[in-house]
Amino acid sequence: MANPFDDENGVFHVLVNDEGQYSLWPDFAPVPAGWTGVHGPDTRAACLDHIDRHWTDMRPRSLAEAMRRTGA
Amino acid sequence: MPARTGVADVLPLSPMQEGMVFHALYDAQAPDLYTGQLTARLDGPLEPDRMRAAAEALVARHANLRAAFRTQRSGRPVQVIRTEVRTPWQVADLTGVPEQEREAAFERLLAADRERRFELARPPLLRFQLARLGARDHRLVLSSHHLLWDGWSAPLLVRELFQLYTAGGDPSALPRVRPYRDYLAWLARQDREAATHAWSAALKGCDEPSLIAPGAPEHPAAPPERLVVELPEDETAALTRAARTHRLTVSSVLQGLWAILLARHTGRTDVVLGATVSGRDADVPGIESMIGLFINTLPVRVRLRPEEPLADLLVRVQTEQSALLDHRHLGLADVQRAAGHGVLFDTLLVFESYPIDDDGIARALDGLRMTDVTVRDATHYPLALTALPGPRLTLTFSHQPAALDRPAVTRMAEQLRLLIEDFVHRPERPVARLTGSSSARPPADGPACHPAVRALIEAQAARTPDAPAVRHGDDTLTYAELNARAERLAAAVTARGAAPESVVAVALPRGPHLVIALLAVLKAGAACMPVDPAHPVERIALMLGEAEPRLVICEPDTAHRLGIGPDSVCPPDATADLRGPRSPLSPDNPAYLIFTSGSTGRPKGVLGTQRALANRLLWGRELQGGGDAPGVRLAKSPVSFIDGLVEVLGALVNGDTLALADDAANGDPVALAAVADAHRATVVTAVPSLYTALLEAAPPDSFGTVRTWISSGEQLPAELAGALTRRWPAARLVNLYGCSEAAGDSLVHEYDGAAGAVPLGRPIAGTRVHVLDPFLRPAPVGACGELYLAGDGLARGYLGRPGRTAERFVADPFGPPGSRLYRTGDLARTRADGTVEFLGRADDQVKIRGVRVEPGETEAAARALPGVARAAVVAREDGPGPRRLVAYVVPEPPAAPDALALRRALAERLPGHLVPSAVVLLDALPLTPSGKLDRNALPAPDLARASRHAPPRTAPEKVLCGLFADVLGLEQVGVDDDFFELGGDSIVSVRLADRARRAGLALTPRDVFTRRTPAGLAAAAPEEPGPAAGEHTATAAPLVSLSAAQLDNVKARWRSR
Repeated sequence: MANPFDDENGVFHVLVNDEGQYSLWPDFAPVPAGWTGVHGPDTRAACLDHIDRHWTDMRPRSLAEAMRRTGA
Repeated sequence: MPARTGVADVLPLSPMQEGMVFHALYDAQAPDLYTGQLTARLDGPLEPDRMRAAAEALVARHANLRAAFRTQRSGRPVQVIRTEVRTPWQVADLTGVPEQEREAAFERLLAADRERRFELARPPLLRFQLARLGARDHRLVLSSHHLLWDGWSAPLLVRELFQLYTAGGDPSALPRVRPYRDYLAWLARQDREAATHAWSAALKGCDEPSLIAPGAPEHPAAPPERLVVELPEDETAALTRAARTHRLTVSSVLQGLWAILLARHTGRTDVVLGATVSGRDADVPGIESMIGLFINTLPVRVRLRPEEPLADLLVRVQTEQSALLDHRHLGLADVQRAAGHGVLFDTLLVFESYPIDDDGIARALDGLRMTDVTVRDATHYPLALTALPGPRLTLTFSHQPAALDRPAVTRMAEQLRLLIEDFVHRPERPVARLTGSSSARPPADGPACHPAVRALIEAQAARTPDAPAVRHGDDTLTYAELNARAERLAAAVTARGAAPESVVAVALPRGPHLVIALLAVLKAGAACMPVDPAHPVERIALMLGEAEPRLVICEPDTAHRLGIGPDSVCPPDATADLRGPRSPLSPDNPAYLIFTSGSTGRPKGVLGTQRALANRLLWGRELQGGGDAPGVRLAKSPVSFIDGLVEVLGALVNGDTLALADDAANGDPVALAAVADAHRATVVTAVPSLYTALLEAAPPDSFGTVRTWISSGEQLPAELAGALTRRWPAARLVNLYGCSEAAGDSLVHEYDGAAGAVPLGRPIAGTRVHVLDPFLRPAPVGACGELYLAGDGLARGYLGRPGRTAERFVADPFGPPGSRLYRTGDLARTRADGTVEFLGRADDQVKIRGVRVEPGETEAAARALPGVARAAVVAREDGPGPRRLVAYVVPEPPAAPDALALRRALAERLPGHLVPSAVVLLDALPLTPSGKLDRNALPAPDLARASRHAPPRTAPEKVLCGLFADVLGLEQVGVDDDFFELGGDSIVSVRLADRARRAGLALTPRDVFTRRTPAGLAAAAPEEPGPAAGEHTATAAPLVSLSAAQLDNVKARWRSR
């Protein structure tokens, strides 16, 4: 079974949702609702590298903001 | 017996004929699927004797209709043409049957005729029957073996027959015959080397066959069923127009669309289908009007690229195919050999494009009118699509009902039609975005608003403060006591800095303190990270290094052993005086950090949310009947695994009593039984291998109070489920499927006694599951895809690994906007009712000799053998040899089975690719700490021993060893050497059986398949004298050999106006 996310030779994008969560995404598939491309098309490795560099706070954005408001 | 007559000619076989000979000989008792039946309805005054004379003239005219199929002493298969044969002719008068019953009587006559096999050595392989249903109503039935002619030939034959009838049987009324031998001579002149090279290049890198029904028998005994779909005239016209626009043939369009369908059903993007070609493009003068078998079945390989526009794909398919035009004379067996493969495909596409001169046929008849004609034949393929062009394109799906049922084929037909629509209206659309399978979008609910886990437990403590919460040995804690002690420790933990978003590790031995500590962490709003203090120090250090917990709750000696500094340690009996409100806790805050083994060798931490864990625990309460009748839960799984954590917390949100077993008891049936019985346990969760152990070793009458068995962690075999429910009939058995990434459990199935592997089931509350194809589209019902999970159970991700998280937790095209899917790496398929079945691991795929294998099937077969207690089957690669299936068997004392005998027994019960290369006997199966099979601890089989040249002991063994060596081209073969491991295939098996018969050992090719070794065959062979040496026998061996799954059917319904 060929999983498109594992395709080392595939063309990918980096998607982000409103919560600031990241997703690797194959180029061939339509971007699901609620997600926006922020990087790509690019190689798998480059996309993962982009994610590793930019997704530094893995908390959902709404949670991070709520915690900031309450001073937690 | 027909009288011996002279031999007119001896000819080689065409590749297609060779394959059919193999199928005809495989089982001489079963009906031969390649027997065809042509029925013509004739209206008017028919003269039977004149028709008989015409039939005889027809057979006299065409040499190849008088062929017998034999093997020469050299092993070379030939067709022997007799100078003359008696043409079988029967007349059945049905006019004595009451009129309303005549059609039924005729149908019975046809059915009986189909049961009659042709003997390949006794020509002609055809027979005529004339049924009289009325003075002006006759049915002419021409039955024949498919070896004689193809679909293109049928109308030509009928026209000649009618012309001869009109001429009163005078052969001079027709032009001279172009003999079939001209075509065979042309075949012999072709450049086989160039063709082999071309096919080898065309199939390079194609690593696995494309099987739609991998378990289907290669030699089905039953005729296929048919589903006929007619495309309306406007749609047919639109398809033809669209094809012309792109300079495509409709045949190429259908090939490409079929490949897409195949991809969806096999989960592959590199697929191979079979296509039957007419063979009439050979450079032989007059070939278009010749009668004989010219067709060939060949692979069509299609590599799908998800982003490629559909029309581009189809053009590419057509171009790639046209490059092979000059090489279509090669037989399929040679093509497969060139590709380094056995079976490549199990679906067939036949595009009927032969001319039918209906007017010529009508004119040929003197005083009669042919009002109907039907051609009935079959193929052994699980699924064959025959396309018949015309004003309305007719698509006939022939399927083996045992391999593919009618609803499945109906769905495929519907998908093909949607794909045709896509091609007509949206040819520019990328392959991955075609509409083909209709899937209703599931309701897109937002995330649930569950209370935090601590609130669930505190509410339960408030409901039943005096009920026993934890029992361990003689100790009992009530809910009130547990809650109070956890609250005190929570204060101490909070005072030391634990808060939401921080991690607190708990490294305590099993006991009340462990439960208190886990609750305390949850009360503090932190994520609990259970650590098994008995694990190796380096491994714990690795995990603590990744997690960087704020605190570790452990005993001082553990802290010392692990080298944890005093600032980070919190003893389990710590308390603090804490005032003020708790920190607010969000459902998105983490509740647990569970480490699982990573593919790279380093454990990775799954950070699960409060929402996910609460969702799982609340659903668990439903599973237990909503807490109405509190039970006693045996808690024995290490809490460092998600199942162990859920086991503990699940009991406490349900008001149950936790009966804590010590670490030492886990995996020990007797110790577990003692704990369960002492506390009157009602619920037990275990992995299947532990259930197997319980069945074997639990004392009689133990576990008598259990009402619910929960199985999880591994696939639950049906026979284990059956044995469990038979031994404890009062308890139900629930199968759970899940993973740390989704709070432990996502699918549930209550065992209902149904046969076959126990399914994973349906999603639990707040959970959606999808089985997706390689284009991230829902896989069709019944098709293999990868399992994805969505909903409230999803974890936040992998701690400190954003890239890893983003490639496993991915954007969800089916859920609410912005939601995520977790891809499990498990292969699955859905039933029509949404139930999910497990099919194995996507990334640990087992392939043996190029065929995907489910080791579970071999395991089940091994376990069914006498003297076998347990079995595990794995694919291994030891040394330079190919990947082999190895069975590990634990004997059932006092039985002491022999490994070789077990293997032979399996060879008798399983198709070749499921038979292990070796059986290794073990005292016990090695298990991992979580109780799963420890594959890495399985010893390598001694393969040298498997291929030892054990000398023959008896005369038949000696003969067979010699024959094996002979047909396989080997120096020496031992009595226990396996025919197929030495390179034998189905065609060579025919040769071997033939040689054995000549040597006086009555063996069939089927015997070779099932017995496989000289020793096995010698034991099976009745020592009857075979036919006298030098006499032809009715078998064939290959010039050009075909492997099992190929051959085709041809043609179709051919209808008169």
